[in-house]
Order: sequence, then structure tokens, then C-alpha cells
Amino acid sequence: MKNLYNKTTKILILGVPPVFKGFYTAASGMLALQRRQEMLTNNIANINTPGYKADQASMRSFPSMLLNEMSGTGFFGNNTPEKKQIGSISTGVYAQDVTPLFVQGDLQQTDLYTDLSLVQQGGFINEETGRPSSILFTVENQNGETRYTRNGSFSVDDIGNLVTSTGEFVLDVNGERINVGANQFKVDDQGYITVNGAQQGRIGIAFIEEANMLVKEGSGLYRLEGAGAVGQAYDNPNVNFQVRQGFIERSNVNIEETMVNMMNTFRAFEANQKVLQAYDRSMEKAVNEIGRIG
Amino acid sequence: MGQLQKRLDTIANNLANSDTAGYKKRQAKFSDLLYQQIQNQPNAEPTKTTPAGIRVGSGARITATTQVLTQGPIKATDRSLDLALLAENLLFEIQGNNGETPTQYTRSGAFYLSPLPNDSGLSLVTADGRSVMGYNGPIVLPPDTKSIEIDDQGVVQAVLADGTRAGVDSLKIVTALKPQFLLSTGDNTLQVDPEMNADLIVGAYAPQGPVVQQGALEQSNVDVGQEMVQLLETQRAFQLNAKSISYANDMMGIVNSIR
Repeated sequence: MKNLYNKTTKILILGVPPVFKGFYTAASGMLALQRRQEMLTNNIANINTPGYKADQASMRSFPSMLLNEMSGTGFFGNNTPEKKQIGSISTGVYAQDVTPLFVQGDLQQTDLYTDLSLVQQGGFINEETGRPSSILFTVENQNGETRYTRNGSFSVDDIGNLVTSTGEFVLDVNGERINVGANQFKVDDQGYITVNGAQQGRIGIAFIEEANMLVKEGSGLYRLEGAGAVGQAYDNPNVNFQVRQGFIERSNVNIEETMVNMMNTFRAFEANQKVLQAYDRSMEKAVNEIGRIG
Repeated sequence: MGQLQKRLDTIANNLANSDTAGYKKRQAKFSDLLYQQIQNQPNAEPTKTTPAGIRVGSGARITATTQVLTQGPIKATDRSLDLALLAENLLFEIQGNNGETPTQYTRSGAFYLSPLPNDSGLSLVTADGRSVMGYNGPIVLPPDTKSIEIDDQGVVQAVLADGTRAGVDSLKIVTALKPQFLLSTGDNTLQVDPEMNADLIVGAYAPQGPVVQQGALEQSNVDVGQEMVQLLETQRAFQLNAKSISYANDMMGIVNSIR
């Protein structure tokens, strides 16, 4: 009999029977793969959403446990129990993170003068940390909070404010709502808005240093978690980008990759099921047949 | 998939109207749905560089089908009652249904002459019989009109049987200030949303250059090639989503068949 010795204090599975540890490991595998499949399905559902950034899941192993073998050494007829380490065992896997991939999507020309898109030149990877940064439009939601978005399918509401397709107000460099009135407006590639020949303002483009701290809320909005630095992208000399009017940025979901990942996830799910079935049959033998008389 | 179906309907409507004079195409705009926050780690680690928990999305939806109001190509028809508007956002004003308010507007200039009872004149009407409005009420031509001339500012003159010209009225042309708030009411007509203030949506037209061309019709601004490409895209997206459903179904089947 092996006696399992817990090394870390963080036990993530409770009530584990000492014999078939792998039963719960396979179940955790299925749950993690199910989360991954949900994320991939959501990516596929959003291949037509402008400004959508594909999610990526990262799987992580639960903390490992050390395995000790209890054996006896006979010496002058005594049996001294002795513990011998025989290695470590992982207790399962879970989907740890779902992070958006901030890669530039393709541009699609529409004929609407209210469609804007950001074209970033370069990947904006921070050299020291290796983590990505990103630029986004700044919007104000119904509660007055600041949110960010890449979905540039804007329109004009009845009092002339520039709004997103779900009703949030687009903000300028000073954090104020942009009012373009009833007229057509032009936006140049540095974000300056011109209405009837007069310059009206400048679209606020936020530069988010830690793009991984952006949380998706739905309706194309991102919320910044934590106290990360947010500056205007125009002020940053290392950030090269353009604002294009009459174009929208398509979803950056890579269809082929996503479908292949879905197939892999499905097969891994099936494999985990087979493991569970094998444990089930073993337990059936243990429960029903060991020690049966007759 | 339901949203893709709506997009397909929009594209199909655009294609069906690719020959309709004065039709303005519609585009569907997508947005993603709310995300569900799942707490997957009971204790947050201090070295984590991403927000706690994971978010699972719930798909996409169509938020708007906006009309694209670019100028369509002008086709000469040599029919004196065909009028084409040459600038974007301009509309002809026509009488509402059965003479009731609200007034309606149209971009399609295919007009006809309809004799009034008692031979009192000929009124300029649309294909459904609704009068085209001038600045002084519905446009009515004298009963002995031989032909009609409309200049590039919309001033209507009737040429009578004896060769004299009689000024009739000016076509009432309005500017759509906020064209995205106009509702399509069928038969090529547009109407202001009754809940909105009409003055904010439609305003008087300020003359600037030639506006009306007689003897021509503005064609639909649907680009058939572009719509076909979008149709193929939508079909592919539909197939991919159906495949996702199939995978989810198979995975549930696997769970069911564990024992």
C-alpha cells in the first residue's frame, strides 16, 4: 500500500480515497478540457465581431504531491517501518487563465463614415517583461465608468454624440464625450476630428501597458483590473499607429487553428473518458469481486 | 447561429433589392455577449500577472442593422417623370398613407401622373398613388399639360398644349440630418420614428449645386459582389458554429457513456 504524503498545504481535492488517485485526476482533466472547448466555441461564435480578440486558455497542473513508499526492513526479526520517496505525482489539471490575444486583425472596408479602426504598427511587446501592451478606444459606459474597446463600429446618437453600437459614449483625449452634431465628420490618421472644416477634437486612444490585465465584459468592452498605467497613445513615441475611417478591424480569430484545437480538445476529452472507464472497471472489481465467497 | 441567420436575412434582402431604384443597403453590426466570471483558484497567487478567475463568453449578437446611405449609380432612362437625386442624404417628401400624417420620404424618383377627379389637373404621384409634395402642397399640373420639365434645383414647369410654360411649384426636397433614425416603411418609403423629434431628423434642404436630374433614376447602392462575399462568409461561419455544436453534443455524449 502506498501512503500519500502531502507536500504542500494547498489541497485542491478533498476526500481523496487512498487507492485510485487518478480517478479525480481524469475528472479534472475533463473539466479543464470542457472549459477550453467553451472558450474555443466562443471564439468561433465571434469570428464576425469587429475588434474581437481571440481568447487563449492556459492549462496548469495542480500542485504535485510527493509519494512515499512504506516498506519494512527486517532486522533481527523486527519490522521497522521506513519511508522511501519514490517521486511526485500531479493531482490534476485546471484551466488557469483565459487571456485575449492582442494581435492586429485584418481591416475591412465598409462604406460607413462612422466606422473607425486602429491599425497598430508592431506588436507592442514590452522588452523587459515580454508581456504585450495594447491600444484601444476609450468609451464611457452607462454608469459613467471608463471602458476600452477595439470595436470601431460607431454611430451617432440623436443629440450628436459619437457612440458605440451598444450605446456607450466615445471619449476624446480629455475624457469628454465627442459631439459631432448632425453632420458628416472626418477623422484623420492621427485621430483629429473635423466637422464641416472645423477641427472638433481628437479621439482618445488609450495605451494600456499591461494588456493582460484587461478583462472582457461583453459588447466589445474591456475593463482594466488593477492599477495599471493608462496613458494616451499619442504621447508615447514608441507607439506607432493610425486611425482609419471607413474601415473596421475584423476579429483576429484564426479559424484553422481554432478548429484544429477543438478537434484536439475533443480527442483528449475522449481519452480522459477512457481513463475514467478503466478506473471504474477496476473499482467494480475491487468492490464486487475481491473477497467474495462463492 | 441565430444571429448569423439574421445577417443572412439582411444580405438576402440586399440582394433581392439590388435592382430596386433608390434602395439603400443595410449592414449588420456584431458585438460579443456577456462573459461569465468563474473563480477557478481559491487563493490568488501574488506573482500572477493576469486578472483572477477566468471568463467564459456566451457568443455574439447583432446590435444594429444600419443603412448605408452612399449615392447609388445614376442610370439615364429618358423618361421625363423619372427623377434622380444627385447628393447623399436628400429625400423627396411624399404624402403619408391615405393623406394622414406622418409624412413619408423617398429616394426613388420614379413618378407618374394621375388625373384628378373632374379633370381638374394631373397630380404627380409615386407608384402607389401618393402625391409628391411641393412647397405649396401636393404638386398638381394643369389639365392640358403636354410635358413636364424639372430643372436641376427641382423647380417644376408644365409645358402646355399651346407651347406656353406654366410654373407649378418646386419639389420639396429635404435633407436627412440623422439618416440612421429613419425607419423603412416598405414600398421604398422612409419615415421618421414617431418617438423622435422630426426636426432633429429631417431638415430643410440648402441649395448647393445640381440636385435633381430629370430622365434618370438612381440605382440601388448594393454591390452584388460584396454581398456575395459576405454571404459566403456568413455561410462558413454558420458551418463552423454548427461544428462547435456538434462537438459539444459529442462531448456530452462521452460524459453520458462513462458508465
